[in-house]
Amino acid sequence: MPILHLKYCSHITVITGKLEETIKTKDATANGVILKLDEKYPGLKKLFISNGILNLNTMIFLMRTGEPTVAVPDLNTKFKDGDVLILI
Amino acid sequence: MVQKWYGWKGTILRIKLSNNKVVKQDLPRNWARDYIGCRGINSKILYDETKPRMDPFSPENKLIFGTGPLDGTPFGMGRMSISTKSPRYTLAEGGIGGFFGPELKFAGYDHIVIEGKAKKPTYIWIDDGNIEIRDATHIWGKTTSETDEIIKEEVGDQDIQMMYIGPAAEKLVHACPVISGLHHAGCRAGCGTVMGSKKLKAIAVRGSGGVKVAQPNEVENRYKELYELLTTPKKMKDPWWPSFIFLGPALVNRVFNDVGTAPALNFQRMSLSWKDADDISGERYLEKYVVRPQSCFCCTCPGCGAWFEVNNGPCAGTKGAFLTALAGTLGPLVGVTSLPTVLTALVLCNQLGLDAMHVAYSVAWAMECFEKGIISKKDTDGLEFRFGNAKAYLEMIEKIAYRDGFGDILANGVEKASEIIGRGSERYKLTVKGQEIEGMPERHLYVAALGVATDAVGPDHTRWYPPYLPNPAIVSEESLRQQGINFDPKKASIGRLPQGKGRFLKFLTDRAAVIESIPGCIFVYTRGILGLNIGFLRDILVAVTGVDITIEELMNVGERIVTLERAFNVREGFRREHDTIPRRMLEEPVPDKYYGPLTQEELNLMLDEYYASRGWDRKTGVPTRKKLEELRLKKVADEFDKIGVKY
Repeated sequence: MPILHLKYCSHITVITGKLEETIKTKDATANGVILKLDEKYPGLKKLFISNGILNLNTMIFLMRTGEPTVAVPDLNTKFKDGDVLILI
Repeated sequence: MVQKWYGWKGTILRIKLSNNKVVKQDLPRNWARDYIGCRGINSKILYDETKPRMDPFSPENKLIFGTGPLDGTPFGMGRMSISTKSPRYTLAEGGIGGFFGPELKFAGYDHIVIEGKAKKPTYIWIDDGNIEIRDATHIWGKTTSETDEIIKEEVGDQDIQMMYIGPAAEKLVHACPVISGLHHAGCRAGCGTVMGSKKLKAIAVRGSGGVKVAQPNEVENRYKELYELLTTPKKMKDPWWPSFIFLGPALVNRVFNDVGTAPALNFQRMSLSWKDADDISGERYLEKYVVRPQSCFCCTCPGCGAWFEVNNGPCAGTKGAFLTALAGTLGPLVGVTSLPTVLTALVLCNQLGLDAMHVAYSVAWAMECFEKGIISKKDTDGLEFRFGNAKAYLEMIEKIAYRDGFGDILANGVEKASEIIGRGSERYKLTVKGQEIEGMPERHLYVAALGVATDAVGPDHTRWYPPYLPNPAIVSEESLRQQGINFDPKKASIGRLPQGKGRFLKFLTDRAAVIESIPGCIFVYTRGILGLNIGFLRDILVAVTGVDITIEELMNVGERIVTLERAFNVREGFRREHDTIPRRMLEEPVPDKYYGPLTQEELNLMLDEYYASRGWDRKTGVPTRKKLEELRLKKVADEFDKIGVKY
């Protein structure tokens, strides 16, 4: 199972109560990560997903070793072991 | 019959310092139509009333404070514009928030034009229709907070609004801004320095009037709509906006570091360690130092600014207000990751009237030169000038302001300082047209690089912000067509793709010129409300002024302003070769974030496209006669012919 490092910013930290953490997830897509986090932090899914797409008022940045940082374009984006995600 | 003004007050105040004369001039209606107000009319006055190659410190230079029709209404958010000819000979223009603009409108004026040069230190007291030019000898040399206190005491009113300079501008330190309300800084292109050259310490204003609006019911409806747009998460059009409301510009401190857009160690790197970034993060700032929010006149964004206090450690006692994203720059640039130090540096800059970017880039450049062995303790007055030396950083700020020792060299700006030091130090200067750059990630967001390279003022992100688009999914084809947008928003959203960036930047700069002339806050309007559609702002303008104007006409106004400002620089000899970015961004990759430099070929491609989209000559970057005439700027084309400007 891929291990992902998550970093939370600004108002997201109000929901998570922390600035960062590491998670293991079977479904390593953007959708899977958000659903997993919603179990721990109820309401997070509502913040990030509306009408089945990534909410326009949120952003997830993907940092992968050896590649420039990019914004995650959609919920099907797959993550790899060691990826770092910034949720804002 | 005299036609009534709605929105505008219809009066320009001209203050002639050389002979202590005050003249009130009617605002020409065609200026209001063609340039709207604020930045637009400022640029018009400056172009028309100054001559090419004029010494910026001569009495002939003008210093212009401009408001717009929305100032004094809740839509204007206290924004206004200050313009002059920069000591670097480019146009100098900068927006400023706070409360001075609305107060000036309440006193009955749209613009103040400062002319000539006072024989001794002076301040101006505007009390509605009464204007006095007062002696300021006893305030000369005082800090901005001391000045604020003394003038309020003299006037006998704690609620007046003021613009003033600190001791740095009195000593003609490079790039000084004008400070207002203790913590708002405007025009880092040297408007404060020119104010110092005119021996004008402050302008204080008290107004008891209001601003008449053309359609009161419509204004009320639009304000309700604006409020809803800015406070209802589902209606927001920008992913940054919820965070911006929460943390203000300080939100970027940590995020920019993580995504690789923090200008660390004089831009040698684009990130710090995560721990370091957390230490200066907006989240820590809110947790440890913020005592209450602070916003500009009638602004609905509570988190944008904040009052802070440092209660422990070596910087205990530091108090101030934070209104910009400077912590994300002031710390990483010089390798300092102590938030109290960064806050202290910011307070010092505001107190002394220094441009914080000039200071941070000067110190960062000197620290890199020190670490590379180009300069030594002999040059730096015995200071161990290495990255991360917070004590040396704070000490040098005062030295710059008072032109003491090595500070006297840095007070000239990085460009001049590198010429004075020589020895290869020029290689590490980060300037464009003589002005220190900001925190923009030129190698990461190509449109930002193009904006930095081409703007008439030099590096100033507020004149083309934001360097990214809202989600293309919310961009309607109709709004694109209405605004003459002829670029693909999806492609334009790709940071490191040169294609399409020229046309994208044209849209951004024209739109910013409109927003800054109406005026409104570039951050609130572009991030919170407009997305890619300026229609909402047009509706507000019509409701306030009663002047019917289409979206297309509004964008033409923006294009006219940008072109006139370009013409100002052309007259001074600036051409395509000056539209560039620092060598570091063109040659060095960012090792810690895995992207290469923006190559000269890519920059050339973007410049070609930008000039073509603007109707400017590709080889020289000079606006063509055809374009100038199309924008009703024939006089400019004629002047170009007269002074021998070649295309």
